[in-house]
Amino acid sequence: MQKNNSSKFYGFLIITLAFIGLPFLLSEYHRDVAITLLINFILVSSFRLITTMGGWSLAHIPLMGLGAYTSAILTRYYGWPFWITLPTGGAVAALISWVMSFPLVRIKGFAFFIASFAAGEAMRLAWTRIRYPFGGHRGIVMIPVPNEIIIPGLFSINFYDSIPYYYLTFLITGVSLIILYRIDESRIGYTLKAIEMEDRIVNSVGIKATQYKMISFVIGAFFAGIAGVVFAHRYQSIDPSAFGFLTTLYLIVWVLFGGTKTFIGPLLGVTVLTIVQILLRNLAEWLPMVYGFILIVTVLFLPEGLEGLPRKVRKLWKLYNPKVK
Amino acid sequence: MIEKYFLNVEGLFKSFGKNLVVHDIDLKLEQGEIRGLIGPNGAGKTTLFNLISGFLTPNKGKIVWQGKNITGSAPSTIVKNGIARTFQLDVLLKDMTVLQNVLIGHHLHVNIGVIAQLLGLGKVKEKEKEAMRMSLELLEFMGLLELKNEIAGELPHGHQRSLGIAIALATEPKLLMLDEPITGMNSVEALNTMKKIKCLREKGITILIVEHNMRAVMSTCDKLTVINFGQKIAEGPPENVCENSLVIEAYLGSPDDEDDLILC
Ligand SMILES: Nc1ncnc2c1ncn2[C@@H]1O[C@H](COP(=O)(O)OP(=O)(O)O)[C@@H](O)[C@H]1O
Ligand SMILES: [Mg+2]
Repeated sequence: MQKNNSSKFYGFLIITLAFIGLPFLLSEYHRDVAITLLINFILVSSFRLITTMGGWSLAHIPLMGLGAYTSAILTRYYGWPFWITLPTGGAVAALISWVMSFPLVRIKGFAFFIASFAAGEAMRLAWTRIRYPFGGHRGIVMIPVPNEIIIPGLFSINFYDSIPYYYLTFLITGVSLIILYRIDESRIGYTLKAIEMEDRIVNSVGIKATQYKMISFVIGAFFAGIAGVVFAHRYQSIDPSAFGFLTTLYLIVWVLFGGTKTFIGPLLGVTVLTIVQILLRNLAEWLPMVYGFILIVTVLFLPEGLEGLPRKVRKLWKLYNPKVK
Repeated sequence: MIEKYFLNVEGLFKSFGKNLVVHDIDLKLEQGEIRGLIGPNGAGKTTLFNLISGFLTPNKGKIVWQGKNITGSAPSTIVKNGIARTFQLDVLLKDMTVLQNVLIGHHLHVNIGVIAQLLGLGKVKEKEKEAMRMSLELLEFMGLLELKNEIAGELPHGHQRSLGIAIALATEPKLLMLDEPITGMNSVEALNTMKKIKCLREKGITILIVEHNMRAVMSTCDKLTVINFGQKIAEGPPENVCENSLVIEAYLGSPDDEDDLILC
């Protein structure tokens, strides 16, 4: 236990330091990719929280969009500061997901897929059809960057530049992941896993499964909304197509490819696939196909995702070296 | 009106489609007794458990628990009121450790609301410590303490049965319903488990047990209720029930069950 914990701590430390140093090693383009990666960390981790109770929600990306739209509208048309719209975007996504969760947590399997998809598409339809304030299919442009932080005589931070925005995202992602990790390790996390594993036991010991499913759905949506806000203020323009099914497909591939059993799995998945994406930069139009291919390969050969790989390798190793214990 | 019985099941009916599985069953338990519920396979015993524990809703009839009508309540409500049950098959959190299984079983005692848990309000830490202490105690009682870090689904069958009982006990029930607790155990394990069941009664837990091993049932139960094709056909002290001609016919009439049953 002790040893495990300290190696976990050092791993955490090294990765954190690497991400702190990263922007200075990168070009402007790659810095943007790194910001997107950090935003995607929030997305995959919050999505995993929902999958622990067994639901693969297709509304996660539209809920991210809801956070983005909320913050875009409030900053652009009502002059709210980013620092207030950040939690507000999360809260609005959480609130809407709470309403959605009443029917959603009571259905399972394929029906859950379809219903969550329909709920997400309904939101997107509203953004496309309603010109004010959503801007129809053109969306919202000229979203302001977060307000400059000025400490007179000392320094000022302008979030128009990519390095300050990187660190802002890093901070928000860090806090989000720590909260999500704490939830995963808490009784709530275990209860959610138990609900997915064997609902008869869960019912027989007095757990109200629907309540737990709702809470995981709502917390997941809150962080999706946060990711949406950070996304909107970096790209400064959003439209309904950014939160469409293709993005949902990417999210699912990241998470499946990484594996959902451990907290680190989906983070690993999205990191590796982002690197693949950079390498295939010249083949951008083929990307959906590449993702489809990776999805198929994962389902066929890596059903537990990347995180299951060490175990697989160990098994093969044993197979060829029967004497080694 | 003062309710005379601890658990009073009256005129219970349950059918699946056209298949009438529980047919006008009455079951009255007194506090502190060990009651055996026996009958051939398919008689409706497990279904009766499911009805009492809220996993199924009866078509007709009522279930009164300590004077309170609990018919049709959700399983979580019923266990909260003090009725716990185990499952006939090894239903466990198979990918979790033995200890985690029992910790989940303590849900009702730690539960201070999801929001409070999230925010770390109230006495979360103290309650978790308490749950851990009680879980270890329970595992020791069930003889599973050394196995606490094993994965539940990888345990031998007999230990899985014991773990099922430990989970139910973690809810601190007043009435414990055991569905074939020693089926598939070797004779030493079976004997041990039956001893523990008696011990639980000494601690004040009322017990309703379904079991095919007649020797175990005869030596443990105060009273037996026999059902066949969803109907009660006999009830009384074990010695009397065994001599009942209806009971003998019910068992001998179905040769498939001979393995299951060692008649008196
Ligand atoms: N969920 C169900 N749906 C349909 N039929 C069921 C269901 N559960 C039990 N039965 C039927 O009810 C009858 C009694 O089953 P059960 O209560 O498991 O018997 P026992 O536990 O006494 O062996 C059997 O014929 C079984 O096929
Ligand atoms: Mg049965």
